[in-house]
Amino acid sequence: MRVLIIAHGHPALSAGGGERAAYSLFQHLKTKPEFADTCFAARAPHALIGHDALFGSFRGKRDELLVSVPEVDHFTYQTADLNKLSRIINDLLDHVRPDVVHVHHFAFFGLEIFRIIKEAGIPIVFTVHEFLLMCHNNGQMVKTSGGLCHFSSPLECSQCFPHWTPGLFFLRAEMIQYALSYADALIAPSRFLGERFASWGFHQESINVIENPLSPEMLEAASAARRAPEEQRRNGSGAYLSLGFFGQIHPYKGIDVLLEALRVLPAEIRSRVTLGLHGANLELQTEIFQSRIRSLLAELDGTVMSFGPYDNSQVVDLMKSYHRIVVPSIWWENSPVVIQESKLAGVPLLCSDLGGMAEKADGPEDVRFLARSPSSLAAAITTLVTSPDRPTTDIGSLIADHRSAVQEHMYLYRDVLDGYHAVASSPRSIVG
Amino acid sequence: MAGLDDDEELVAIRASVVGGFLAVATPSLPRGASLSLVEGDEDAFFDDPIGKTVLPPDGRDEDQSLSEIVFFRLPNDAKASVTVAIRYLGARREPRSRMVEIGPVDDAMVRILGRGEFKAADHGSSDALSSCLQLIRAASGATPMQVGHDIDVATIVDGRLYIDGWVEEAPLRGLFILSADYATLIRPKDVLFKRRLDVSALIEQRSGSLTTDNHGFCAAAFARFERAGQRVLVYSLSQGSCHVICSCLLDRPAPITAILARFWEVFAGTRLPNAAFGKDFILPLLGVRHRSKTYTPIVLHSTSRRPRLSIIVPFYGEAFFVRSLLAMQQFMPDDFEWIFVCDDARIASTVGDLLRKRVAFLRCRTVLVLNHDNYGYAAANNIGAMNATADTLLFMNSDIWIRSPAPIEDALSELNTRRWSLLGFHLAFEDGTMQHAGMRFVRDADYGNLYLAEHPGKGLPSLADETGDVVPALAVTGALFMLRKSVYDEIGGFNEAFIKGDFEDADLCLRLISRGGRIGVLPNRACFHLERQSIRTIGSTTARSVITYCNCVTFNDLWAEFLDRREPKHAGRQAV
Repeated sequence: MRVLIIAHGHPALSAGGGERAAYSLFQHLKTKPEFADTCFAARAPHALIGHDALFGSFRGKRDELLVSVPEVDHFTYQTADLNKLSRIINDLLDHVRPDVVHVHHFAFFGLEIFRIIKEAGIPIVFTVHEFLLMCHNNGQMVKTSGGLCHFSSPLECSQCFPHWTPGLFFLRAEMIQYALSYADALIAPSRFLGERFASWGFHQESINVIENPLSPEMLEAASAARRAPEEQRRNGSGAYLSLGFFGQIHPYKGIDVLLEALRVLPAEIRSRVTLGLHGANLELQTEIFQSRIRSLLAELDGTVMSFGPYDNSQVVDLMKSYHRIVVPSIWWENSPVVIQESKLAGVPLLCSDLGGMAEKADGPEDVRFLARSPSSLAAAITTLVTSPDRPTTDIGSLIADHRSAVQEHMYLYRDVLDGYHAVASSPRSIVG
Repeated sequence: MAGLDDDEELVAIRASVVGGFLAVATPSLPRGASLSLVEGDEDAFFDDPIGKTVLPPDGRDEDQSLSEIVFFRLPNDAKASVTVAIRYLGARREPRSRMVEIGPVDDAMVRILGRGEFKAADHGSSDALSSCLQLIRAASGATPMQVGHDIDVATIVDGRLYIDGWVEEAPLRGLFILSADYATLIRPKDVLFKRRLDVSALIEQRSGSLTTDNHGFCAAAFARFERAGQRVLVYSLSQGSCHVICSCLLDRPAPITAILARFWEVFAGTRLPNAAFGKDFILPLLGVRHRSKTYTPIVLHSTSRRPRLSIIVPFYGEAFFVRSLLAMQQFMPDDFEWIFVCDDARIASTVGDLLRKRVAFLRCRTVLVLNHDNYGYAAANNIGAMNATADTLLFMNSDIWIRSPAPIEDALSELNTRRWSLLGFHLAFEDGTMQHAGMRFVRDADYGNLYLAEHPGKGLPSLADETGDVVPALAVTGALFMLRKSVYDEIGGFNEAFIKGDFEDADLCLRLISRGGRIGVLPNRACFHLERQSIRTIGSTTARSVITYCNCVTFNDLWAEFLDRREPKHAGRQAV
């Protein structure tokens, strides 16, 4: 079977969780004889293609294609030029001749991509990564006033964006849902995300909760580490706690909640805690946010070490140097890659009790705190510092979980192709 | 009709605009000869004078050939020239005609205006003309007057003069406004006043007692013959003496919406003007009339089958909805025809681009009609209908969303039963509550006791039953209704006297009802009307209110009596 995976970017050119998830799946499929012809097509800005054409190949690989497409309207996610997008996608389909197209993200392509593929007679699997379809605030389901958003409705959306009326948000939702009706199956990497989409009008039975598998190299590295003699990283006395943060330095990631929690710790406790910050892009945030973070970091001198950006291929090794990985995001998250990675590193989590994080950080050793609450996080840290026991995760079953996620994707492709779940001819197949 | 370029009298004729009337100056004509305006081409339609001013024989200069000015109502299309004919009593001689350029008032005409004797024509009222000439004569001998004043706005809207400002105790002054070229005159009875407490405070600080706080004034000319840079003078005529209060130059032309907004801000304030005022004053200000409406139809996609239904969608102000309409086209039958009428040059390129960039995905016959000017909602719909090729028309606002073709198919079947002349639809808001299920008409004491169209149940949870029967109605919204083209033609389409989208639908429905037609509302849960939900803009609402009000006045002129007979319980409230 030949699968075409369409992603909004190539991870080597634009590193984001969605791009990495799509590419990791591609790498896994390439190792399966039945799926060896799988092709990866990533949208790229025309300047990154390197020549005049709208297509190119990444590092000359015949199965890793780059595609430049017309711009997309950021309210409706409709392409600016459907005629042109259609020609490009049809050229791509004619070239690859896939049996199934797996759209990992529609952003940058435009929602019409589903119709174009479907009219070419090819079934579609679609993975959602966040709430972009139902939330105009960067798909975060966080109100522009800062509060958490529990439900997308035209009236409430218009309160976040008064320039757009409730009627236009209604049309946005109607058009998006109709565009998605061309897809045959929807994958949500977390139950939480799936439930949100079900409540937004998608048929529950068309939503498949399947995790995005981490890359084969990462699983292999974790597996090798597991076979090596277990390094005694912990002093077992409970006297000292090292925390690691991995991810973008962005308000949604809750870095300020984490630093504030450290700041309010009693001095005696704080002297027994360290935090390693691995992440970048603070300079891209608002000045107010930058100055708040810088001031907190100055106050926490001696407790926090900033390491800047990291190479993702080394993330598991980096994580292993910590007792806990902290995920303090203030938005719902879906299935954060950092949670998967920390599990693979065998390092337990300390994370917000919210949405996809609460679902994924579900091990007996993981600790959750009240999202957005520095005091709740501070209390959790205090308990951990004084706790005598710091269990490590058994990663054997985790690696198996990732491999089975790959299998589930393969089953779904077969199902969709065989028409077991397909209701291909009828629009609104996955939308109620 | 024979042309007579060598006819002495004809050659001497000159034409100007004086006080909003057409003034044609002539030598004295032979006995039995009279002057007329010719309208139309060879099928001459003669318009007779409403009066004339004649120099007494002793006042005529020997070398001055012109001796009288004959006044006519200014024809709508008199921009640059008019055709004048001399006719002879008893058909002794063929009428002679000549096209005359409309030029400035010259010295000879001023002399006749100042010294001539006014004679009303036997037919038609010439009171307005008579008082106009008296004012012009008074103005010619006016002396300056020292009185507090200020002009806030003096500009041109569609060639018409608009002025507002304040003059100390304005209503006591007998204010009138005359342009220096005599073309425009606004009489005291057409000047409107407004309380200006700020001005009162200013005057009381300086001098003391006042008898009124109404210092603000506003006026607009009905005839359109003004140019930017023209000087305009404000006069006072009180107790027989005439004074010049102030003068100013006319600004560059202003958009009508800006002036309407200004007008509303200055004069509507707490209460609406009465109906007569709206009709006599605001409507002429708005009265942009296009003699010929031109447009360019572009067929974006055609099909071999003749369409079963033509869907006509006018566009004004907002292009966004092209997206949703094309999304809808995906699940509507291929044998529907879509006619997008763009009545707004500002969005024409966006509408055109959105359509052209999706042309490969059009499945239905799709036509884009680009109007060459903004003709208004009624005319845009009529133009759409002229371009329709199906026997049945569906008029649809651009902000309509229909989730499935079912209600449209149901309406087509219902129309085929011939039980209904016109069918509207249950429409919902985006939150599922009712937007429309038929109209009713009630008099509103806060709105000059005029009949307003109401949508009963609006905003309440929809009770539409998809399986229910069509419900009879007096009128339905124009946002979405269906009728046979033959019925539309028979009643003459939308009445273009309405401006920019109010009451046209009610008017069309009542014309149908008054001729024995039957109107129904089709229950369904698939049709949504995102009423007035364009991208929010600032500053357009006041102009919008004025237009709605004017349309309401026009509608009441046409239908108040009919509705009084039809809905007597509301008629009883007329005296409120």
